[in-house]
Amino acid sequence: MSTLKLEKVSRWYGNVVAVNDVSFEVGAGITGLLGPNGAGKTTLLHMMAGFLAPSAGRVQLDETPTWRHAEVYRAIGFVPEREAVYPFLTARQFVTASARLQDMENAGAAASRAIEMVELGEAADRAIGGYSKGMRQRAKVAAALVHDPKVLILDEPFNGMDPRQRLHMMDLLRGMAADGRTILFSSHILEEVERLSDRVLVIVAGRLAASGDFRKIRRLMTDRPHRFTLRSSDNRRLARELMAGSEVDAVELRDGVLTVHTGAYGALTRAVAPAAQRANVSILEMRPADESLESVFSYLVHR
Amino acid sequence: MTVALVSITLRALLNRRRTLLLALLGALLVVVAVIYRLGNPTAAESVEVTRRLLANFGIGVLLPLVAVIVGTSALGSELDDGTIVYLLAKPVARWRIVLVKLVVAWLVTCVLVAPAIVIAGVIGQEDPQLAIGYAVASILGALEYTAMFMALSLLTSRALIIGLAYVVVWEGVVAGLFSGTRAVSVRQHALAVAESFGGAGAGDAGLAFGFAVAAGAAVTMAAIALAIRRLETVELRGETT
Amino acid sequence: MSASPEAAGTIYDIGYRHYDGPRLGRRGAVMAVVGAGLRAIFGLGRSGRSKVIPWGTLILATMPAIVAVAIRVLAGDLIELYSYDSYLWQIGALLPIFVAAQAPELVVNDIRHRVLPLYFSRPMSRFDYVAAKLGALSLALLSLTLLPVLVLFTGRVLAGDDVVGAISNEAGTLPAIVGTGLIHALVLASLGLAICSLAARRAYAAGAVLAVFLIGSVVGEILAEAGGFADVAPFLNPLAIMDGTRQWLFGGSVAESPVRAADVPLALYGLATLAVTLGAWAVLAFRYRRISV
Repeated sequence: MSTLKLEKVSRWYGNVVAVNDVSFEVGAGITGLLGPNGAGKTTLLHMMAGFLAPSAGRVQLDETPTWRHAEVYRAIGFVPEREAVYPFLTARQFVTASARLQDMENAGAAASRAIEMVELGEAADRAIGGYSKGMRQRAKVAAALVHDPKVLILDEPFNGMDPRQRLHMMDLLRGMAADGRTILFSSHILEEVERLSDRVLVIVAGRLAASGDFRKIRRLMTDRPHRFTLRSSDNRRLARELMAGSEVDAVELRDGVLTVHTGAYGALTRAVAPAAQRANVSILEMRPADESLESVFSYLVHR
Repeated sequence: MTVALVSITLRALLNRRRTLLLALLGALLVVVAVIYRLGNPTAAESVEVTRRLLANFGIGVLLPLVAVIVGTSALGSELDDGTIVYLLAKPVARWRIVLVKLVVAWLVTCVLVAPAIVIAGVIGQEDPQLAIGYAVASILGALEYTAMFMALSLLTSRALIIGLAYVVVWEGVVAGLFSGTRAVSVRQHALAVAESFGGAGAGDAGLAFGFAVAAGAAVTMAAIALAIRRLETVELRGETT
Repeated sequence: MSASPEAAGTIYDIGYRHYDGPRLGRRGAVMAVVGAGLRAIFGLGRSGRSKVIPWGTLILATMPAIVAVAIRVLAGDLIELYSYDSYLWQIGALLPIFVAAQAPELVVNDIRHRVLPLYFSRPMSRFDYVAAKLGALSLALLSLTLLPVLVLFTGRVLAGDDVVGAISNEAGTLPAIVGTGLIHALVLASLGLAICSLAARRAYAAGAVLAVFLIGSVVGEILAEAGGFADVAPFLNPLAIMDGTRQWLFGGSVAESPVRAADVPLALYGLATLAVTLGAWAVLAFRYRRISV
């Protein structure tokens, strides 16, 4: 088991601060790095993978700094966000070359295994230049895990994948995590992180906004003033019934839509259905009115 | 691991259209020699004209053009499109990446230049020693040039343009006008080698052989050291920054 | 029948204005491309680095004229440094450098980044586009091929004691100065643009332009000294071809030019210039007709 450790890490470009005084540890299992675009996810991952020097602080893999220590790459597999892969190589050649560069004895067999794992089978002998985004992504992942690394770092690995490929990749990562590997991936999509990782790091504007167990953070994120919009067979009766309970702070009726304000997300979602039943109203639609990730983040940061 | 590094570099360098154009450049040298020889020149004249052809076209134009394109793209194109990350994320020492890529770029340059010089030299006049002298010069010059241009490609993303400007302005004009600057001109280093290996007809205008070799070696070593140093500290920021 | 506002759909007036002023049309579009091209060539509105080569070559090209004028003012007409005839040949090395560095700015990235549709969806045809780029590069080149010689001319006129007499003395040279400048600018622009239109990246375009001029002049120079090829030699070098044309039209030879060593009718140079220009235009026509947008 390997641990990636960041201590008071900052990184600035000129006078732009990309990562600001971040400390955390990543151990075995899947950790999701969540943040909106431009939050500093890529900078953070590149520092962890040893491609960027921290301007201040330390980034270490099991007590070895990752910057300027090529030996750490025996333990690290890295999947960059950038799409470019050698267009003139086939996936098999690309993955085999990665195995050779890892000094593996049986590079061909290792490459076949990795290609098998990402289900690239029949396309593996075509040039990468003609691949779709999802296939390219899988070729990159195969190259990163061909040497069976203890730590796998993936920058936006699900970009450009279709839902089936996405599910398969999630299974693959879960399997690797179950073997005691350390897996860290970044995403700006809440739902991906929720489904895959036990542990999340939330980064906003270069600062670590939250870290730890996903469910706890989720609750912190959700127990904030919330608005839902509802459409039902009789909005007025439903509103009356809901107002009778303690979960709802205010209701608003306008243009055939019922808007509900609440401070207790979970309690409200549980209270709606019984209330509708009591009032004998059928609910046609219920949706959160302000569920964008940015609003969640801005709440977290300004809390 | 060297094999993988070599094969990736070779495949990237031997892009079909570009290689063909560079080979055509070499073929042009041979064609000029053939055309010249068809005019039945006298022996003494043919030695002099062939020498000028090999020196001014072979060493003066063909070699630096091929070397600047091959040398700047051997490592530079991967830095440009970000694929360098797949090499850097491996337990391979950075100096090794630089050296392997340099050797590949050097050999590719040699293959595109030296045969053309030998053939043109043998066609243009009788004495094979002249051709061999200039071929040796082109091989040593190729090493110095590719090392320089590889270092340049690690310093700037506009290495090819700057390299071309260097070839035209410094090697072509300045080193011709001010003889003091010849000490640091790759072309003059190479010509000194050619003059020393090329026999009687190879001329003697430039630097002393020993000095040229020492200066060439110094420039090459400095360029390699700089390239290694740069690759060891190069930072990859990712696409968005 | 009343529909709810949602079903009917509503467009809100958020202040968009329709443009109903006069439109400049095709002519305006062409002028805009010429203007943008000139700004690109001289690096106006861009970083200092992109100004180095155009302004550097421009200054280097004008410097001899200024020095010559200064010497004339200070020392009288004791020595003649530069003649109108040989001036362009003397600064010849600067012309390919200028073309190689700046012509790619005009055309390469338009093709590479696939922005040509944005041009062709305006009142502008493919022909207009090429003509505008050619115009911009030719105009820019005039600053090297005409401006320095005009500086020399003006200096000579003003340096004399008798300005009116000087004008009448020197005025006869004006057609040759202007004609030579125009021919050089147009031919170099056509050739440069044609080469650049074929390249995939700006750096390769620059390399190709330099290769054509370098190889032409080096091979030409070597062959000129080899007996029997002196007649062919100047035709390998675009600058020599243009110098020959200048001599054909306006007279006055240049000592260093391979045209002097060759023994062919001067009209052949005119023909060669025409062939080079038409060839370049044919390449441009072929390239831009075929390109899919």
